[in-house]
Amino acid sequence: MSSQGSLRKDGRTFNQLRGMVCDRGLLHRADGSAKWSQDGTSVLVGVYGPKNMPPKREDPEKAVLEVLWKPKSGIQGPEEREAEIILRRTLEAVVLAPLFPRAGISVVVQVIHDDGSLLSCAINAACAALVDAGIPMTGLLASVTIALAKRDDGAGGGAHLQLDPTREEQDGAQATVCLALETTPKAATSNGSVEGEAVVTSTTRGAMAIEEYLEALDRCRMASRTINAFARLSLDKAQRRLELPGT
Amino acid sequence: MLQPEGPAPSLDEAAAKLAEAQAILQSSTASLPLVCLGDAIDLGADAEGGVMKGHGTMMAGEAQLQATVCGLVERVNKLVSVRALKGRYTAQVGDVVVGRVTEVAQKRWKMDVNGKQDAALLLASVNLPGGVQRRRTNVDELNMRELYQENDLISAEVQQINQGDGAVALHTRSAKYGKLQGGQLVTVAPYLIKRLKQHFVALAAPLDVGIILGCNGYVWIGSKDLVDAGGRDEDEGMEAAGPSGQVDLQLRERMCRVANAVRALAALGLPVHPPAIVEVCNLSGLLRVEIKDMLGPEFLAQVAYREADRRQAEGDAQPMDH
Repeated sequence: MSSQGSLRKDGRTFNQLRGMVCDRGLLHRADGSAKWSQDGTSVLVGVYGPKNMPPKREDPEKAVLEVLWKPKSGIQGPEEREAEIILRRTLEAVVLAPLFPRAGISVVVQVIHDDGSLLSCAINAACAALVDAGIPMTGLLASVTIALAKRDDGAGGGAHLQLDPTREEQDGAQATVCLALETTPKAATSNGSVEGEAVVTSTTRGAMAIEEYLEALDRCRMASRTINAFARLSLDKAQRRLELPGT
Repeated sequence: MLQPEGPAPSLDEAAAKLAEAQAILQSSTASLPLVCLGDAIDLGADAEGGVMKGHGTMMAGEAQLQATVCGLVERVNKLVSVRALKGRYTAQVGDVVVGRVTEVAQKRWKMDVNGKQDAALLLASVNLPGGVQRRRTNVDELNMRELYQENDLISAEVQQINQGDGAVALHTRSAKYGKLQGGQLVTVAPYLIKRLKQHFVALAAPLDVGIILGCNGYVWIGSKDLVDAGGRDEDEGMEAAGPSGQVDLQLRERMCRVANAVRALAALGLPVHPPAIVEVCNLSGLLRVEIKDMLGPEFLAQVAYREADRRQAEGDAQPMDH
């Protein structure tokens, strides 16, 4: 392999995330909202609630989460339905729903542009929007997608794992792994021990070897720390912007 | 710092000025014990004595508390809680709220009070017009719409909160509560409204309007007689309580000025309370700012500078103790 082989088409290394941007509180009518962009991929999420639910849908034990996935254009297809379910299950793992019995929380996802790693971007955006809405959660989520490039055009020794793939890389990949990890403060304090990030969601597409999956998992763990650090920084900034009434 | 005269600065300049003023305000929050979601809460020396987890916290490990919301750490002896800055209204018994009827149900009105669920106003906990005793009949329940209809705005008090599911029950068993008419509603974030001794406030002349500061962030701005000490006239009942029909132009303008003052405070994230509202209104009068310009960046910057000056003076007098 030539030396150029260590770089991807957009100039990133195989282990490099795209630049992230997070804006909060963009929607006026929603309780919380966030726009999360990873270069070309961009998602806007609005959170409504906890709010009243029609009696048919309410749960006397906990808040009901509902996720609405709006594609960039057109109407929902089966893929969007699947994304809805994955996102809902992921969020249910971190939201402290039993605090709000009989209430409901709506998460509306609007895809602005899809340039690969869309589900990861949506999970990150949804987490930011939930925080913006002041909904209690057990921890912050960080989601990463990894694409396994076809063996014949990748370098050997695991170099064919592409972190945060673009649409092109994703379409040409042999398999993709999308992982959502939850970071607990234990992990933050104990110098990043590997047990700190708990896998909340793992969805894969295509075929891969077990070793490849484990390698991908490891890289996602590393990347999730970067994402988490970024999310925390942007949260702290946003928070100081709010003024405090005296007690 | 006040510039009533001189050429009007351009919009960009005004925006830059506003950003600068906000930065000054922000600097006063630097020392506050703010935490982010997922952060371990620093318990300091008290950790050995044991702590109790309050709202917005959860146990992580044996003697470690973790924040589940972003906000301000508050401690009362051993109880540690995190107060979220954003989020919907959490009711407390005795709060004055302003709500909108969403549904007329069996023996109750469902009200939107910006809470986690709709609140219920029971037919048994309202005063009938004229103070007559209610007869518990079916006819009575059928006539509920004559009292309050869907989309009516009502001022009420929180009577009870169900311990199990957090359902809120309201009552209007006082002459001062009831339907609101002939004014306007401004909604702000609930955390901006502090609990005061008096939530029905009559602003003195020249403003001469009445405001109801609902703890749920719904602020009603209406005529002064709604709020005046006597409350609603018992004989008139609630139907005629608001100024019926026309509201004269001058009163409307005064109401709009107050409403925009509330919006200006909310836009800057400053607490909304009567002295602050009056001050903003006075400032707008002093600078001869028109009502429609009160939400522009120029005026907001002036309000922010005012607040920054006030805090500076306060900080010089006594160290901050949040």
